[in-house]
Amino acid sequence: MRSAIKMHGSDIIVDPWEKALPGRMRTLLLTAPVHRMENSKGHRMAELQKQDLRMLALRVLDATIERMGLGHGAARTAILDEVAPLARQADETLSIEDSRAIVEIVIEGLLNDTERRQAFKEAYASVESKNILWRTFSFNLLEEFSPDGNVYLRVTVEGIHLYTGMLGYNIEDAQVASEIVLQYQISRGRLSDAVQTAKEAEIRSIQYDTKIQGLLNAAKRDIHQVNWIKDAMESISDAREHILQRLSLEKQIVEVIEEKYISAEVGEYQQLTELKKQVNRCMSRHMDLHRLLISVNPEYLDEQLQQGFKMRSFNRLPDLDKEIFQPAILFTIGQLTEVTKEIFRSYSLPIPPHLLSLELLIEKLTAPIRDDKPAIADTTNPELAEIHTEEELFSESDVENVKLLQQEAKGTIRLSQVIEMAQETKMPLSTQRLLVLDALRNFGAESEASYSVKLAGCNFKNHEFTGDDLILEYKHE
Amino acid sequence: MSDELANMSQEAGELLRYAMDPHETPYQNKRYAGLMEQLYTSPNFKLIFDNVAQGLEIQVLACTPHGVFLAGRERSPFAFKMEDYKGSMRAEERIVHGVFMLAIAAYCFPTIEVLDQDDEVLRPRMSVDQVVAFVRDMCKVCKGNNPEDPEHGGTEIQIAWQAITGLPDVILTPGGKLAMGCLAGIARYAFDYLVDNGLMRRLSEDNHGNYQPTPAYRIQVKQLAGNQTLKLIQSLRHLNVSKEEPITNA
Repeated sequence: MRSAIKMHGSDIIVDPWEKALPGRMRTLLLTAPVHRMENSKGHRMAELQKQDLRMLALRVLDATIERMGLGHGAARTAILDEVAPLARQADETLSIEDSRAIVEIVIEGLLNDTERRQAFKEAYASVESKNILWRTFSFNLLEEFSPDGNVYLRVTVEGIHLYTGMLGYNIEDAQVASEIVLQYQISRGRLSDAVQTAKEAEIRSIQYDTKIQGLLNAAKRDIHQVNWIKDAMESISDAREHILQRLSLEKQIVEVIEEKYISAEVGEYQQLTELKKQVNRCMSRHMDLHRLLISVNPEYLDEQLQQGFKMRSFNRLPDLDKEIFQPAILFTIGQLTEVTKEIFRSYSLPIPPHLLSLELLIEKLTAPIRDDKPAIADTTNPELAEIHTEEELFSESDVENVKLLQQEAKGTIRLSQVIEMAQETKMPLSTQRLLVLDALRNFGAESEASYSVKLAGCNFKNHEFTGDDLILEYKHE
Repeated sequence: MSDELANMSQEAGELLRYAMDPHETPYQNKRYAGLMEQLYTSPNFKLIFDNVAQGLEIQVLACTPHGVFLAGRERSPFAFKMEDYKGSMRAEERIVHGVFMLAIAAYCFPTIEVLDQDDEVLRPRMSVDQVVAFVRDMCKVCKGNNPEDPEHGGTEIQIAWQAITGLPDVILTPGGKLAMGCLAGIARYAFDYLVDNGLMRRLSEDNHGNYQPTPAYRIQVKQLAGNQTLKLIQSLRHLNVSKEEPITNA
């Protein structure tokens, strides 16, 4: 029993509530881990109080999805670089390290690290045959994976659903709608809106890619998990048709963008270029997916050939924790003796034995003794010789003499008078020169000087010195 | 003998060499990747490779995009010897190391669904301290279920959790390193062994060492899970559980 609702000129089929309810419940439950993260932040660290972890979680998903459009996924450091400034915006007192630590907490939350990356499990009540039954909805939001030796983050199908808020919609329909909207926005010159719509269209492309890829991977893991004729063939055929249509539509959009370039104003060029890049990226993703769909049936047939003849194990994979580890620690040492050897063997690569070569052995044994480099860095002091320098202009006795003269001169005195005192006591010329230079050094030095020096306003001249006379004012206590 | 056959034989040997080196991966070594491609596409090359491996009593565990995984059979010159893991271990010491190996696997793959994921999906980062706490908690549960002092007999009849309970969590050497006589030292040794065999990546020294399993670890654990001896544990557990109280709060 279905009811039809008229909306915006199109018929939308609404399922009876009994049928629709479980799907809507699952939609609601997808947000539960993010809410839980926000609600439990008080137990973790004080720095989280000013943060909305739900907002950061959505931003992590957003940044990851954006990078999924370009390649395998996102490097963890790239996500930290992009999202950490947002955490700092919320709390300006945070250090860069703390803001990155907060984003790490959010990533770990989305990966469900506290539960050792098991799927999130949310229990919900479902109305089935007029009875209420409790069911569990299991899902992941974010995954870390390593397809080529590097580590990437990627958002799962459910994670994309959560982010786009597209639950309950058919992916294909949403994609068609998005591209029609995009064409409309470009033709009306609403370019910033068009860029946003193109981004949303790309997210849907990724979602579509993930769906098909998941189906293929499931078949590759265990061919018996997928009913190829009933489920896969139909989906793949629909998807292939759909992608071909999308490629044609996206080509038209690129043409519209190029036409718009001619009439565009200066400020619009950048937006148009960004938009074109976005649509090209979508096209490239669709083409990759199309290539995959073309090769999927032969791949499946190969898998069928390989797996079809593989003997189906009567025993499923064991639950390592409950069925192996927990019972094992209840065993006696004697019981476990053989088991442990098998465990070590399983983790060890074959170690190549050393094959004796008499020639090589003798060659190595009789090799000339080399002057091995010392184990530590050579830190012996280099031999250093003192280079010849000219003797200092003033001796220690000159310094002492100047001090004596300054102690004798009390209050205010002219430089010419001090020089006369030095000459009367037959102090060497070097002492007199030091006295003059010291006075010149202190001239204008003000606070740094041990005595103040001012111009006397007259000249002085004796047999050794000539020039402006200076007034020296000593600060004796 | 044709040149092609001679070349293939040489290349099969080369592929074996790469497969025996834990630090070689097809995504980093193009030659390795090329030989793996040949393994998938040339039935003759695959036949030669399988036969060379068989002649050396080497078991080909898996051929995956992450590499070829091998194990030496009992009679093979490549067969694993306990000394390859650690020399001169007493029986109970060996068992504790074995339990830690199981604990690391159980910590990484807590459910069947998780173990059955794609090989490339990475498992959580974990530290030595976390795994020690995981094992210690389990031993506490066992002790709680058996409050009376166990009867002390010979080593053979000592139960694994009792052997673990007797060891301290952390002992440091005068040089500040983990001693082998403590649980953290044993866990660290096990982790480092897995790193040496290309099954873990060492991330940092925090909490006595932080590690993350590589895709190769999942492949090896799946192989281990199908092992007859582990199936023996599964079958014997009912026997033991009937003697001991079941573990309920794990």
